[in-house]
Amino acid sequence: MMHAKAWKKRDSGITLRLALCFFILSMLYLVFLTILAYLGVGFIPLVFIGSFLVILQFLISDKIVLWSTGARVVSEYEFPRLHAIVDRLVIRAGLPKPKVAVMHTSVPNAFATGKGYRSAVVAVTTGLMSMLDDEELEGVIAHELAHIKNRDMLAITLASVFSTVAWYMMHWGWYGMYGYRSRDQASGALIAILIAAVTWFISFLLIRAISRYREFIADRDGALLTGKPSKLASALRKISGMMSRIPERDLREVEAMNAFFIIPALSGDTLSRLFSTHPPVQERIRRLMELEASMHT
Amino acid sequence: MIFKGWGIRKKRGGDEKDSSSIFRLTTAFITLNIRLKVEFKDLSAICIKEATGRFSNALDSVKGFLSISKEISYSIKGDRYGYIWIIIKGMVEDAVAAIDAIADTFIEYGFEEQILAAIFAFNYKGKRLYLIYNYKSKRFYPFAPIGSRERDYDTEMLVYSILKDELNMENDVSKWYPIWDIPL
Repeated sequence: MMHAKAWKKRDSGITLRLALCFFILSMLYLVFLTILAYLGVGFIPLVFIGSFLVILQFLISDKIVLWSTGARVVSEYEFPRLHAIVDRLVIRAGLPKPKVAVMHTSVPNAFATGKGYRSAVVAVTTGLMSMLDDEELEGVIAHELAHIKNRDMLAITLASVFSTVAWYMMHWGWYGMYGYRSRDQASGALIAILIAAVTWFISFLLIRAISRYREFIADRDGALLTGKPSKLASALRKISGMMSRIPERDLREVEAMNAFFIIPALSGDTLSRLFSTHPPVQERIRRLMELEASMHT
Repeated sequence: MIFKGWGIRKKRGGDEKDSSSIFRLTTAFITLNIRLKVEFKDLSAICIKEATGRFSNALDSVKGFLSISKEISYSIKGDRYGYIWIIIKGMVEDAVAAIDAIADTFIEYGFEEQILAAIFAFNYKGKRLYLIYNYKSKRFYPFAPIGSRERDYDTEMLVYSILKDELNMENDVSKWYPIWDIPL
């Protein structure tokens, strides 16, 4: 159990680092553009500058991701098993082969990044490779290839472009109403920043919703690519530690335990669910198993 | 259907839905058979913690109506945890009706707390598969043991996802307690 908790902690570390990186970048843009707006730069140039920044971020996103996760591109000679699985899948998916990267950590994790098919990178951790069997690893990599094939990186970037544009429309609407150098300038600036923060927060939630939705799509497409949804489901079960949640103790022993205590023994599960950081895993497994079930008709 | 009178005569008040959920097994078994070629072995059981006092009267009453049934045959076994297993051999409808009648009898005698679970035995690709109905939670869950102390999670998840729309399935996998050495 200690071991399972240890990797969970480090797992959120990677996600946190990525999220923090992009959060700081977004905040920098907002501050930069706000300063420009106060210096009197017009609306149209601002949209251009904003779009330019987002596009720049998109262009170098794979480098940011590789840099912040510490993933290293590896050759066929270093990781033949991994390359063989990727090779088999890209042929069937009709994709050019992406770069293959490895992160040296026991945390089981994987990601895909890249602006297009040519520059795409698939990265897995050494922990993932040692935890999963070939078919499960194939399931996970097929999921990541589905992200590349569906150009999810582009979709997320587009979503953030729209949110930036939306933010500026609200921002500009404020100044349009009250005039730029009125006596309300101080409080106006405050409200502008408030609106900016709220808009940014909503678009953050929206982008998260879009990316969750694209996760489900990638699960489905990846499962269709391998033809074995249950293998990705079992990989997810292993990665999420769900396997260890299915009890081993006999029902009759548990009943006997509960009879001893006036308050029924509280299962540790209730607490862990309250603090769980990845609620959708069960939902993803459920959908995958539904797909698997629909193949048995 | 000799047990019809017993099955319908309910004293559980608002639990109409729960009591009927065990009767939904008939269609669930058909679904399992069509989707996974799972075969019901015509073997089921209800597992009850033995008690003293009027418990033996309840058991006698159960034996009384089970022995006059033409549709099913029964046997009674004990286990090392102090539970008795009333094992029913018979087709789905008759087995479900019998198990419901047994449960009702023990409830009538005041032994509701003693009833642990109803278990239905299946054959899935030559392997053992059980559907367990927990009387406390009033929910079903799958149990696919391999060997003596291992379980086939993949099969369990598959059965779960096929049945979850039809039966009152236990969604929390941490409550899928195994019952090792099921005598079915």
